[in-house]
Amino acid sequence: MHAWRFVATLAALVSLGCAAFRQPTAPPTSPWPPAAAASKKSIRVSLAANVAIADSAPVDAPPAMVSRWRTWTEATYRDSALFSAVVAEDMPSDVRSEIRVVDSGDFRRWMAIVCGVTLFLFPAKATDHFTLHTEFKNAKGEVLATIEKSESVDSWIGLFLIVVTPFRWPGREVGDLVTELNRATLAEAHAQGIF
Amino acid sequence: MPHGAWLEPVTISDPSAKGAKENQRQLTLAIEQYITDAGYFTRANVLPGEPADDEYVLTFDFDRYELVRNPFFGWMVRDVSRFSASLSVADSSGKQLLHLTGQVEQSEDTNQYAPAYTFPTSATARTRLIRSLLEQAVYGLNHPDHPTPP
Repeated sequence: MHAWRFVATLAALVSLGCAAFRQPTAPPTSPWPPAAAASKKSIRVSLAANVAIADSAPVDAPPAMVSRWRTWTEATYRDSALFSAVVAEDMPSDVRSEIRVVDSGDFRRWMAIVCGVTLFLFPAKATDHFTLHTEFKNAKGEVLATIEKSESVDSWIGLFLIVVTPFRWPGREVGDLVTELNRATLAEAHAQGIF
Repeated sequence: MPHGAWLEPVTISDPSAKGAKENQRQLTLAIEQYITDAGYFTRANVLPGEPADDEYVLTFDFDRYELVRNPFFGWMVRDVSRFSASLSVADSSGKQLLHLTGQVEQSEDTNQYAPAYTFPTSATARTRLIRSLLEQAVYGLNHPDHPTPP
């Protein structure tokens, strides 16, 4: 009997998983990369990020989190092939992109309580609303364009979700979301003739 | 103040500061936004760039940047922030006009059910220090003969 209990507990623990699902508000940016201008400009990218839980005031995102978002963002700028170079923050450039990301987290308290009481048999859900605010400036500090894009991602945790976890890993979903918001921003700025 | 300001990227020279590199970048953008939102200068930008002749160059350095979490009582914790910083103001030719220093210490209690527990923040104390330095700077620039507020 003890062996069955052990196996059942182990099976439950092993099947505990999490999964995230993006909630896009617009179709993926297409074409990507966009057609670049004949003469390209250099750009430097600065990014700051804040997080907020429920209705609390936004605070600095942890350094490791900001670092990941910056890596995804810089990769998108390079992949765009719109620029002659994506330079370090202390280097002069033709254009500067200042990005402020806000991640406002929201969760249903009753679901979290029921999830805990039922030992994860009943799943819990949290939603992260991401807003990416980008300001493009020239070397004189004049604002060329301000663009804001947003999207949400729902994250679930519960038993048996392990089956879905490899295909909906939250870190990868957020990475795809940040990449898409940056793509949409660059495509819009490009369409306005900023680069 | 009818002038713009340019920020040198903020430095955290405190060798014991954790995550200094990322915090420097975050702080630079946060201060840039704060300067314009609070109206200390007409606009703010981050160097390198091309400041106009009538614009100022601001250099912030944090030689103490500390946020420590201590167990307090049961499920409660106490976050203690200690900051010490300097602000140098120069004109666009590089001539130093002001050099100001300040420090702040603040403790805040929180518990594991509060948002501050997941994301400890020192923003209140930090903002107090930056505001104090900027207010002194604006006063000093407006009163070059008596740069210290009464």
